[in-house]
Amino acid sequence: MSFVNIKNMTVRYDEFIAVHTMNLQIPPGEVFGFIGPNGAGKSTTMKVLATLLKPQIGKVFLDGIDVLREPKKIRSIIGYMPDAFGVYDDLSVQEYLHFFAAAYRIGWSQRKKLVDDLLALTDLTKKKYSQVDSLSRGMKQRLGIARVLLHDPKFLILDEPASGLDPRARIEMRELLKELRNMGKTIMISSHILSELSELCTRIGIIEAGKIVAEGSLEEIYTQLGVEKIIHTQILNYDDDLQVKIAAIPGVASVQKEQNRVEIHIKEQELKPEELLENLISLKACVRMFQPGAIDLETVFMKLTEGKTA
Amino acid sequence: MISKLPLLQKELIEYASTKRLFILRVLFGLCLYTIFLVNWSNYTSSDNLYRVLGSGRWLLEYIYIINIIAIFVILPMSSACVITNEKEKRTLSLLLTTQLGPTLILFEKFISLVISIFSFLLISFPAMYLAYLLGGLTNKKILISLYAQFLTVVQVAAVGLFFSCYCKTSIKAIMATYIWGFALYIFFPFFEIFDNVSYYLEIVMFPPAFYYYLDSYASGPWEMFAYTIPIWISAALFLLGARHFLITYPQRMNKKPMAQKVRDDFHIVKRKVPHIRLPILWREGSHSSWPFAAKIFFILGAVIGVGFFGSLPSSRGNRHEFAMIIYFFALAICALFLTMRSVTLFQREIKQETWDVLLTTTMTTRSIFWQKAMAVTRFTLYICILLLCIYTFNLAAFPRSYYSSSRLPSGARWTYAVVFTFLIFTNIQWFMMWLGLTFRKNTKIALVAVGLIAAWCIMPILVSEFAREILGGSRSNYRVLALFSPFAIFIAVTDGRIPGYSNRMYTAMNIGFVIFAVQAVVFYVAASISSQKHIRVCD
Ligand SMILES: Nc1ncnc2c1ncn2[C@@H]1O[C@H](COP(=O)(O)OP(=O)(O)OP(=O)(O)O)[C@@H](O)[C@H]1O
Ligand SMILES: [Mg+2]
Repeated sequence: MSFVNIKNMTVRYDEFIAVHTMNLQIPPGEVFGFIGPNGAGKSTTMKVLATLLKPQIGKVFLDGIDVLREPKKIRSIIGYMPDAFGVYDDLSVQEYLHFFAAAYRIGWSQRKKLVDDLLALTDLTKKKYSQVDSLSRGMKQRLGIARVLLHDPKFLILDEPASGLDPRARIEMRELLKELRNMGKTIMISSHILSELSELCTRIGIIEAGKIVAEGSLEEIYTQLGVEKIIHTQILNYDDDLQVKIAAIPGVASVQKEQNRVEIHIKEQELKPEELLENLISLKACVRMFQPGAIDLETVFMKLTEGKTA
Repeated sequence: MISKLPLLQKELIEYASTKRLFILRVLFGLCLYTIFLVNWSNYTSSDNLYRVLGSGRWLLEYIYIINIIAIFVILPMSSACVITNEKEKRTLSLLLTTQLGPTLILFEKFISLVISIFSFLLISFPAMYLAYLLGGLTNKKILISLYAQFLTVVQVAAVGLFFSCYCKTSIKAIMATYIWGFALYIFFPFFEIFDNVSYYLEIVMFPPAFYYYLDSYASGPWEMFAYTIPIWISAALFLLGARHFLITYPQRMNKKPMAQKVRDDFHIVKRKVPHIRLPILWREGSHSSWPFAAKIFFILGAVIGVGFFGSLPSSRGNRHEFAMIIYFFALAICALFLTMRSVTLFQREIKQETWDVLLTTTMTTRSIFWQKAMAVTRFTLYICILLLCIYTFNLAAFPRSYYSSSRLPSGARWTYAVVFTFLIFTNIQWFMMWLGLTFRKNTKIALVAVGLIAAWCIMPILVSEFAREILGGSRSNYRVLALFSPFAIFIAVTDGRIPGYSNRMYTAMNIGFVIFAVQAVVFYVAASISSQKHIRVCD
């Protein structure tokens, strides 16, 4: 059973349709990445899941609970961080966390330790007594994440959580998300930065103009779209004859010679890289290097979205 | 020409398209013409033709006073927001990096302010013309009245701009400008006691007073101008100050976090683990309202002090009047603070973008509303107690020997004062909370709120006057309508009587009491229904 279940959801702002008949299922324990151009409807969808917005049409379930009917139950299992992090500038870092600890009715005795743990987790211990005002953007973002974790929610909704983080913090964030995932949490994050998502997520959904255009694990999307995979090779005895033979292998889309390398584009659903290697060897090619490229998300993204907004 | 001043162009387009200004203008026009017509019919009903013909002079004076009041009510609102709005939207730094330069920015904003307020004053011109037809005034008098209005506009706009550049938020700037305006009214009458100094000061610094003596002092236009040079200089100084703070704004803005850090190291209190039970109430209490309350305390203290010492050398009757003026200003300042605070209660949170986060916590909608409401209620109680202290002080300092026996005895007056102070402020609190919740997305709601408070004070009195004009009959029949106005109640409580009532005073006061109690309940219900409807979309 899926953890998030959105059925035929349409969200309108007055006349303007921000999300159009969306269907989306996310299995439990996944880190789901939501990508799309500006104004595609990512934040809108997340707000619906966070009980902040009511869709005009459709049903939304979280962990089997109807978000629209029983928002009170939902609030205790979600942690939502908006793209503006939602921090009070006039509080100190620890006061901010204690504020929300009180809002979630966490017991007196646990609060102090909990806050200290979360500050350590997000590497903010040094800033414990500083005014939130004086934190940098990335620190505020981390403080937002610490807040989200206060009541140990099952489902995290993070709107662009990594946009202000430095490379180190980004890697730490990835580790943190992995850890959270291992603890059995389901996570939904949005971003425009594809490389970021491909590192963080186990599943992605691409949204454009209020519609999901592709959804699934990276590999699935890759196959679903028939996007070609590039394999970089060095073949010592490469010549025109061999090129023709390689191009004739079923599943190979094209073969290109680039200086001292040969780039072979394959359709992965027809031909796996290891099968290609076997084929190459059976063609008596002298393979010195064989390196399948990472999935080219940029291409996927550019192919799927034409830059139109909702 | 105007296309060379992009800011002015933008502001004028905004003025033209805002409904709010249009409504305010209509309200102003209604007030002005009601007062004008009532007085018109009073003056022209006389059988003595000579009396009728000379009465234009008095009508002009009424128009003049109304216009001055309008300037003092409306202009601080818009002028104090002009720069702070850009600060709050974080566009000011951007604006300062453009080619415009601070002087031009100020100039354009200043001109747009003057234009916008004159769109109000223009409404009074037909009335002025009618007054002129009745005679009794010279061309010079009319010119002086226009000039004095213009000077008042210049002065208030300059002061508003100054505070707008100096303060961080619109609310603070508006408060500062209003308090400056109140101070003008309190300090100058105060100085009047020391005859020579005060007279000169009033001539020099208080443009509305020009209307009354420039006529006899100055003979030609040049002399008239010479008398007003100090005002021009002070306005220029305020604008220079504004320019200074505008230029140094980027530095001041960036310096703050550093200063905070230094302060943190010495701030031991902050290191304690806070014990929070009701988070919203806690935050409202420890972080915004106490410095705020301290400020009120300070301002009111100053008001009382000045009023008390100012009243010492004057005669008995005069002294009583002073006490009442002081009480009135204290009341007005408190009402203003409370209005601002309750109407922006939810908006501030939305502006800070913490609202969404708060709504996704497990706190119930009721609890969020209640904690917010409790914070304001605490504030209301606090100012009520403060005001009643002033009232007691006044009553003690000026015993009732002043009053004739037909007025309320001081015991009854005290009871009514306590009841009405609490009732009026409870009314304001719940009404403004309702307004702020229902129109939480309207960024100019604070302006509307102050306009509404002013209308609430003035309209019932006007309506009762108007009803008598149309329907005829004795004045006291319609006085009960006026009791809807907190201002009328204020007069009743402070002066010990309601004008027009002599024997049936208690009945009238009790009717007023019931009116306000019912209103308070209605506003409270409206606010809590609105909270269920507007705070969360799904519940
Ligand atoms: N309160 C609102 N009122 C009217 N329209 C809105 C509102 N909020 C969002 N929209 C519109 O809905 C569409 C989707 O907005 P949304 O914020 O969901 O986009 P997004 O995918 O999060 O974009 P970004 O990547 O820029 O954050 C946009 O076209 C936006 O203009
Ligand atoms: Mg967004």
